[in-house]
Amino acid sequence: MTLDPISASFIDLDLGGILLLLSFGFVGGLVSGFIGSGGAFVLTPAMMSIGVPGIVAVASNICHKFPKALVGALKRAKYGQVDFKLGAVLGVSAEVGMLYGAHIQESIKTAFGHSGSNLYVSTAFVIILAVVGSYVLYDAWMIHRSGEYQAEEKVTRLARWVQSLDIPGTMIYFPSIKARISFLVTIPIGFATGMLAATIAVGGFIGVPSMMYVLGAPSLMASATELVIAFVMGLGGAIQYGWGGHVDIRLAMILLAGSLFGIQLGAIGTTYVQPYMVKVVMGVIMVIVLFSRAIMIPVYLSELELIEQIAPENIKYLRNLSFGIMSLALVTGAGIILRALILGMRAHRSELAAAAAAQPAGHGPLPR
Amino acid sequence: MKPGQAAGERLWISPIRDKDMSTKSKYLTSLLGFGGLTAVLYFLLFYFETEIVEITSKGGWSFLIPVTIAFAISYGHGNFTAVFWDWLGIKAKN
Repeated sequence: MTLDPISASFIDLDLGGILLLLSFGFVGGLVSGFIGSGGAFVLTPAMMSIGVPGIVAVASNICHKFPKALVGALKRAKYGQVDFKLGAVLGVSAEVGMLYGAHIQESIKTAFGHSGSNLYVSTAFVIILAVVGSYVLYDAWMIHRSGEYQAEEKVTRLARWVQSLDIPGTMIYFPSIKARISFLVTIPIGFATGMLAATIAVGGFIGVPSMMYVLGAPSLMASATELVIAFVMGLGGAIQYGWGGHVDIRLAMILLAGSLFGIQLGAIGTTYVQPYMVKVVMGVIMVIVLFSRAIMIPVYLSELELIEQIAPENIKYLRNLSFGIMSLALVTGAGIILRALILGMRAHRSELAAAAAAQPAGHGPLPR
Repeated sequence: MKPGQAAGERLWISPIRDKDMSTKSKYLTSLLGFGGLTAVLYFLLFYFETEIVEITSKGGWSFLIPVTIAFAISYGHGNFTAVFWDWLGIKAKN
């Protein structure tokens, strides 16, 4: 199967490219279904690696993101994990943040060129992922060490303070948090989520930890609610890029074909695991991705002539290494999710079998 | 022992088997229905790809086309993938 190049910016895609996009879509969907986001960041470079121009890759990625997030949010809502009100409130401010983030990107590109823009994106990636990713991973490690997997997730001191604020006329009750929060707090969180989404394509790396640690939402609720934010932002982004004529709907729908299988499986996985697994997967992905971006910083510094020139073959090697590490992050996250799902299902089936064995004959049906 | 009950058969097993069979057949019907819908939608997308890409690459109000296609396919394929995992026995824990 070969897709013809119809427009100058829309590429010829062979079977290998289609299979690559289906696979990346599946793994990305699996991660997004589980942690609410984090699956999309590797899709733009994956598309670019098969020759899709940057803007078409970004546009097509975002156009596959909103239907994927919609399906994931509805699936996880069935499990009672979604706070639609919180998602909508954060989603609206995230939309504004995304527009502002895109504007900043454009200004940096105009002033410092393509390399300057890449340097800004990579630096933002490294700083945010180092701070937030390490904290998320540390928190997961502390829960693991304490062995209190079943205990109610601890609300941070910051979240308790945020929940104690009472600013008349601004308070909204959020069911997931079971508390009233001022929208003056949610606006900057949503805005930062949108800005990050416009910068590194994964707003959830700010959105989910903020909901957990600043607002006090349980991790499963936070990761599921992030899908609502992703839907709102993705739809806005798809309209914006579609208006500019950059969306290659064929690419977007090939990605969607794989990612919907993944997102369903990731969502199912959340019902079998301890909530802290969301933190484990998110923290691991963030920390690995951090290295993928960090090794590209010297390349951009060299292109901006801020350091000594790096030889072209070394630049090519670093680019491939960076893409490889990024893919490794996604595959590692997906591996942890699949393992947790398989172990969780196995344990559940053993419980059912034990319950059936304990059930005296003629005493009603087995629990399902 | 009740009429029709085989020797040694426990009463609660049969109804579950019947339920499993009817659930499996329901899944299969949904799987074929949503799978067929998804296949038709993807076929139409690639059959009319020249026209669709020509119009959408012009931008402006043509953004409605990719957005509508995305919603339509997410409905068909979203339901198909949900039933697919259920049919394979990979279901959420109650």
